[in-house]
Amino acid sequence: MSVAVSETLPATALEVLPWAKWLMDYSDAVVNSLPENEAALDWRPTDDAGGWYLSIREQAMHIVDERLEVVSNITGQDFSGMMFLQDYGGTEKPWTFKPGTRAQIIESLKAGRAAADEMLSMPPAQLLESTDALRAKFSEWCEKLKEQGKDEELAKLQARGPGRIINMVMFLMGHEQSHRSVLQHLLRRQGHEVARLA
Amino acid sequence: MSVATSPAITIGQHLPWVNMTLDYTEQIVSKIPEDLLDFRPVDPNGHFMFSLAELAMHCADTRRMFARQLAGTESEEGMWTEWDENDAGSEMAMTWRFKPRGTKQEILDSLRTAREELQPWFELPLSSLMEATDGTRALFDQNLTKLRAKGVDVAEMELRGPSTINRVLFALTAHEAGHRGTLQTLARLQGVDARGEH
Repeated sequence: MSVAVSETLPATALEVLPWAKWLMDYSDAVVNSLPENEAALDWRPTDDAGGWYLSIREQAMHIVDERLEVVSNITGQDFSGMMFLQDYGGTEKPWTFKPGTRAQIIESLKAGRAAADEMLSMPPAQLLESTDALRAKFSEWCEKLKEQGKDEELAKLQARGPGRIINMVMFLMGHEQSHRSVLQHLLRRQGHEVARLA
Repeated sequence: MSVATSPAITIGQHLPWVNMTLDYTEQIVSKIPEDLLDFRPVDPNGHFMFSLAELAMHCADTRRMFARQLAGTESEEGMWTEWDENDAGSEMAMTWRFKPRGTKQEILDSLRTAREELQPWFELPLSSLMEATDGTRALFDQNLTKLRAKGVDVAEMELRGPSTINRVLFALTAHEAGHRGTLQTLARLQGVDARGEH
């Protein structure tokens, strides 16, 4: 196996991460295709195994929220006024969200996209760096794990150190694509034409 | 911003989402009962949908494809997909065809062995992350030649340059997270307890 340095020099992080653009475009296209009928957005499947599902509206809200959250974690910007989650229930209980119409969801989606694009306009070399906001988050997580007595998790986190931008962007894309695919699948099963949007 | 790098850290340690994503897919596949593997939902709009087994086989194939891009190996050995040359480049619109599937264990083994092909890249030092490989450079040259012959504008592609290890792993993670989301939803809708691990 040999590794050779590329000779090309893109100017922005987004140029070296073409998948980031394509994937956000894909998520945007699916969310922008939400049915106009507000009542249809509240449909959620039932789980015979005893779990629960996010509704179509909540899936879209979660995509929007997490994009804003990741950018906030990297840059320290406050997007809380544009986010929807009220109470995170983990895997134990249903999450609760603030009320939000289709138009409000799409408005927040656009704001998140603009913030992500702006953040990714940085020079590509910065992708491997951390930020003050990420370091502050890292300290918070370490404190929390210490309080909870989760020594093993704490040791792993400390070994890895504060998050770097590239890692957060990869998390965002993986997370967003998993929820995009769930949202898209539920919409398709409900008969909405969202199969060919990538 | 300040640089926070450790010379000892590997790509796999630096990008925990990659291995977490691959683990998650394998966990979901392991929960699917053998008799549900061929279940295929119906899209009311008539579009193609993968069966549960096909989703898992597609993830395994894509792991191999990305590993072989990095290694510069042109081989379809071990893959489940039966590629139709006429469909090349139209993955979104094509009807996918697969070789007869094996048992669930064989599909899990296929995911595992495909992951093993990726492993050497996870073990490289973090300093290699933003580098291209001989494999991606060769593929880049091939694609440029093909696109130029078709009269396609390749300026953007030239600026971006050959895929770096980061770009390939980024694509792998986002791609697999998307299909895993569908696989998980599909399994849950069929009554399998495959709840999330948020």
